[in-house]
Amino acid sequence: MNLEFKELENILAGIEKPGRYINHEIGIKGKSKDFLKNHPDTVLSVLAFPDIYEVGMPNSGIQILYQIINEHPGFSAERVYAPWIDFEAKLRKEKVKLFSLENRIFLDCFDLIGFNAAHEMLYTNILNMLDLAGIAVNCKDRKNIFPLVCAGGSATVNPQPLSKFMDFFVVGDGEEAVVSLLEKIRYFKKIPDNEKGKNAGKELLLREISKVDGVYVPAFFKVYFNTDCSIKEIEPDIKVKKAVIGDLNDYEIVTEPVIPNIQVVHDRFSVEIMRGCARGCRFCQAGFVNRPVRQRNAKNLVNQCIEGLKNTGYDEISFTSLSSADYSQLEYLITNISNSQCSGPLSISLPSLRLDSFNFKLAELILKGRKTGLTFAPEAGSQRLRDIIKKDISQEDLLNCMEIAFSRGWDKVKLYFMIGLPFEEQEDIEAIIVLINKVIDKAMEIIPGNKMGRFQVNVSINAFCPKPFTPFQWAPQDNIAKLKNKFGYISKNIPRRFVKLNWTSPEKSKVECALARGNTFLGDVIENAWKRGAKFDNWTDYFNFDLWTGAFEAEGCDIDFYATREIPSDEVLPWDMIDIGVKKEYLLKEYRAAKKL
Amino acid sequence: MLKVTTENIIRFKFLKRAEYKFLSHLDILRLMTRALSRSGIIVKYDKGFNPRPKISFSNPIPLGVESLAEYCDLVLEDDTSANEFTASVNLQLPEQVKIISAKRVPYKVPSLMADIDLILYVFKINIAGSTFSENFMAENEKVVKLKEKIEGETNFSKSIFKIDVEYTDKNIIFLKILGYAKILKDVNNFIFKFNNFLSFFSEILKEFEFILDSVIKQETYILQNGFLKNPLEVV
Repeated sequence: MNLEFKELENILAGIEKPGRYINHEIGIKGKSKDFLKNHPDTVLSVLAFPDIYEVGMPNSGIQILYQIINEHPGFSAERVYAPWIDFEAKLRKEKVKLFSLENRIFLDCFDLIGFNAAHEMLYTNILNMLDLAGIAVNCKDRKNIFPLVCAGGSATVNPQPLSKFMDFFVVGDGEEAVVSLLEKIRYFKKIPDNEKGKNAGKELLLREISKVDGVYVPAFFKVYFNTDCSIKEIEPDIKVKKAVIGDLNDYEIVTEPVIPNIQVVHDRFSVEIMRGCARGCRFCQAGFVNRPVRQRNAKNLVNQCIEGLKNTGYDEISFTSLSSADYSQLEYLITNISNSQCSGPLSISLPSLRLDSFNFKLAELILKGRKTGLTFAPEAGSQRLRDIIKKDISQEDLLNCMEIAFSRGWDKVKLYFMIGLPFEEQEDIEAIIVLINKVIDKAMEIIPGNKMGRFQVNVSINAFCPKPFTPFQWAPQDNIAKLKNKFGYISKNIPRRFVKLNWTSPEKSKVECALARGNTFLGDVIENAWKRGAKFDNWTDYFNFDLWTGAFEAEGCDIDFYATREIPSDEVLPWDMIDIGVKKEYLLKEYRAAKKL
Repeated sequence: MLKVTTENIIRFKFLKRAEYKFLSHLDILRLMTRALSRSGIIVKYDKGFNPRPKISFSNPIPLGVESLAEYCDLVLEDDTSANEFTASVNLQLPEQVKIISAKRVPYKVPSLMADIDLILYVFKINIAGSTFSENFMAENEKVVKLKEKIEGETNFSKSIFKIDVEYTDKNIIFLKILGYAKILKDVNNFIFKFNNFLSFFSEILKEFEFILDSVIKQETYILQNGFLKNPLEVV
């Protein structure tokens, strides 16, 4: 049922960064081996993140659920991350099934496997992990009731592409849902087998689970298609309401998170200060699907943060939310945290700080500790296009902020732009260049000449990807040639000095877009791509567009039908059976309003 | 001569065992820094642009090797004693990484990395081989040959200060290799490169049909007037 340390030692020989697979971090909470032996009725779950340890560990969703489940005396949660290429090869060669970190229990011995589908490019890794665990990837091929396989996370607001692999999905906030559904499993396991009926077992359980808020069970819905692959009808005509926790304050932040053994992408104490965003940027899926806006009480938060810093020993704290500057008591929070240092300097980061509400005082406060980089996301170059996407920032705001930042000693800024936005014109692309030049001019005006050598603007260009539950969900994505032209123009005309330019591959964005807006046919495409070897699609070195085009072709699916087509507003959308809390009519109104500008 | 200091410098020795042998030098550094921070021990920071805690470790240990002798020097902000220090930091450390002794250093010492001359690795080897042997002498001869073979390989012989073999009553021997951690004046030595040695060594073991059970970093030494002393013994 589990892998012994001696066996682990043997398979870890020669493996890159073995610290990924050894467990025993500070802060682990799973039930001990002895506890499980004495309490065999414990519901065993494993939280699976379909990317490597370094990427998955900082994920706060996993940390939150891990805490909630393990606090419960009757449930246990362990963790598993995708093994890196070398370790996967070793596992397959030595015929060792994928195991959890905590007690090294093989995944197929759990009652529930919950994947965090944080974004679409993780889908093939989910299949790969199931396969490594010796579990059939398709629901219909899984003979046993357990382990049940489910998914949650941002991408699952459109569950259709993964629906053939998942017994159920949890859409929305997981805090309450996870406890309710584990209760259902526990109750079910207590029913004697002869009372369940032979084949009705799994259905009976899924029926019960489907009563939990936010749970979508694909087996209980039938999708009918038109000849062009668009959806004719989804039956029954009922909606699954996303799970929402009304008050974030009901759940303390995780003050004793698991501290990674090895360096991870964000190695710091991360605190969610607010959930949801009221800005309404028309391209932003997170902004629409995480409504309503819920803030944490600042006073409690300060206490919890101080406790967390003491518990972890971290010297960096990061306040996360979709738009940190909209947190009404940000200044109070930062002042109190920076004045309460436990030991040594503390650095504070605000990853999603909007520049329009950026001010002197805040800059001063953050500067007290070590200096971290500044990131701004104007998203579009021209005011016209920023109005269209409802990104509420003016050029004046941006340059004012730069002025403050440069005069306070910052010399590195990062600017995010999107290309291929709906209703974009050549002038909008040109405006990106103009804006970057103005930022450089501003730097030259403010930063003393002898310090300009350190000055750098990192410009990051992403292809726009229309996502479900946004006003732009119907909009076409630019085709690859158009995106390449636009990027070509930028890279040709952008000033060489001071600027570092990078962009995400348009091929990758196209696959992401198709998967995001996909229906159940895309499940076959994902499976096909995975069988062709697609995995770690979010890793530039591993993403292989040819595998994907091959998979689309083989399954008779047109990628352009999903990515670059404008979807008629009266077409049934694959995610129509999910009630995300924002009405479709409202989204359409917003789309039409954008069109008029 | 060594300069007396008013700073509270603590030198300590710690273990790195079991699962934690798979963590790198930098991982252990981070783990230690956080444990210190959790324990409320305040380490002095330097006055650089990005202030860094005044902590330095002994030589990095190869990944996958357990150690009974890792050393660390740090400067404390207050006058916490070595014993108090050990007690409070150990509370914050996992069982696989524990401080076993600590000492206050009353004067400025060279950094551990600059000072350590030799590292002792102990290879636990099963000499029973694939064919069960009743002839202890034959195995014994093989062991002698094994030792000769290592000593004969110039690359390694020049990086090894001393090799000892310890026999047990079972089919187990301990091969103790004392390797150079740095180039010494007037010795004309090489630095003992563990990973290179291990791949060379695995080949020989295969040839002799011996099985490497485990490797432990047993101790590190500083050569002082011809004597081997561990870093806690020199202060």
